[in-house]
Amino acid sequence: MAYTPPNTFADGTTLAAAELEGNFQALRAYLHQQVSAGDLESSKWIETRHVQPPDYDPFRGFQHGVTGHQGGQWAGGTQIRLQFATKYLSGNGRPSNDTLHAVPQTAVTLDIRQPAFCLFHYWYELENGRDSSTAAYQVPVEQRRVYIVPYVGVGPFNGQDAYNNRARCQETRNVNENLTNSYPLGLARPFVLAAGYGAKQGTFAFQRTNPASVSFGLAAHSLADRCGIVNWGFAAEVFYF
Amino acid sequence: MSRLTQPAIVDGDAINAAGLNDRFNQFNQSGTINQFNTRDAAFDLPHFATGNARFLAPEMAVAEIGWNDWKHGSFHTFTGQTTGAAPHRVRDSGGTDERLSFGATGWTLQADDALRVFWDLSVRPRWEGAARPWLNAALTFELPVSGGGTAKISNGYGCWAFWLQWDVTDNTLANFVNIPGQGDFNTVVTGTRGGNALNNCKSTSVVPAIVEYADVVDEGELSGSIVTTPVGWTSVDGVWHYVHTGAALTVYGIRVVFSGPFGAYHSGVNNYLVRNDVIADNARLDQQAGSIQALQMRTR
Repeated sequence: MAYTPPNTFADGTTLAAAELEGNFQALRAYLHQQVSAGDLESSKWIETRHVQPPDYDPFRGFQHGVTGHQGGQWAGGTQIRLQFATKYLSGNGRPSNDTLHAVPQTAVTLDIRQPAFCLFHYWYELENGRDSSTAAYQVPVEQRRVYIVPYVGVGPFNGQDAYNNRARCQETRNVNENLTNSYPLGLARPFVLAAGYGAKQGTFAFQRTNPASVSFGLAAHSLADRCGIVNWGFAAEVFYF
Repeated sequence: MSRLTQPAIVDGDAINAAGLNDRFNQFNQSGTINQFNTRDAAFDLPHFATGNARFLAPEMAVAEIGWNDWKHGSFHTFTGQTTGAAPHRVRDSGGTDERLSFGATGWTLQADDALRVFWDLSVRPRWEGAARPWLNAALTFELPVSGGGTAKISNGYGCWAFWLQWDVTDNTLANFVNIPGQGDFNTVVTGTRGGNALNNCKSTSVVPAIVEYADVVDEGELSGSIVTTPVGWTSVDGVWHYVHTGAALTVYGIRVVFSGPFGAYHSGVNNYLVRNDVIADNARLDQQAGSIQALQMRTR
């Protein structure tokens, strides 16, 4: 409610100090904490300069402001951060096993402070296989593939969060038949022609209904013993309601 | 407030009740506080905490689509299509067409609103019937062979195409049409073969249908065998960003459709993706699961 002086003065009456000070006290109280929505002009007048600019976190590569979070990370630039997936962390290659492991460094934790719409974008290039393991379970060559699954969760990585998203998995077959089996080890044929070189990307959207510290990332289920994730990147957009 | 305009008291002014009351009453600024009373960077996240305006992204919808059996124990199989066919739709485990609904009232796009769509799907292109059926279609290059003669090789020259349709009629979701800038590959391009010019493929993603290559190439000539490798289970994904212009438009839903097999064609002027009707009966696409998500955003 707008400020209204509690005391009104009239000519010919005594000007009392208490009445004068009463108006000042009411004004102080109003200006400190009693400005109400009805006191604001109803037409749009807030400009960009009136809004707090976002904070930028150079370590994580994200900014946070009144609209939410925006940013991302990637493996390129001046250094290569080669990552991996392996069946030794996801059920030893048994097709009956649904275990998923986190792909290192492909996750970020964001402090989401309002209900929000969230987008998690990701891409990666990987070389899957060959599978030379003899101690662990081995599926036929054509079934040796790696599944990459985006996940979101609160707290440390939980394989169940990733498993819940298995419909979103992107799978890449192995390159077993395209790697030489004797020295010098290496490529027998180009990955691209052999369909063994996996360059994939996707977007995972979800809604947060309450504030939390939320982790986004990639998980893997591999049916081959080795899979090098050569390049990768992710980005997130969080739009507060 | 917006601004206080009462002049300051100076020596010689008479003090009377009216002037004194005016000095207090000028602070009554109901409905007038604005930018003149606000410092730069005054508003931070807590000021946006109340209400549910969704001022930047008003709407979002997410759905898993297809048959969720990620180890591929069961799946849907679709046969290749010829010119004139309506595209295949992604189906759930019960065989029902999948789509992303925008609710009973749909989403109303105003001018300059953006619609962003992201989707992915696990698929497996493969072939049945005769070995290398694409030799009878326009899906091969002809290369010289060392010692004389020529040989045909596909070299990844065939594909399945996936694109988007939306329903802008009503919430029964019975009136899907191709999104703007996307054709149905049924416009005859050469002979009787339908296709799309590439500038009419604005939501199209493709997956190779054939992986074939020369085992040994020596100075541009084949000197080894031709190797054909199954594509195997893989994934396809797509992104479509649309900025609406003109009068308001209500969108009720969106879906992924697909067809194949396609190959490249150049008319001398335009590049096309065109159908290969003669081997359509040999082509198969196995479909598993994926997801589709859409976001409406304001740009102003």
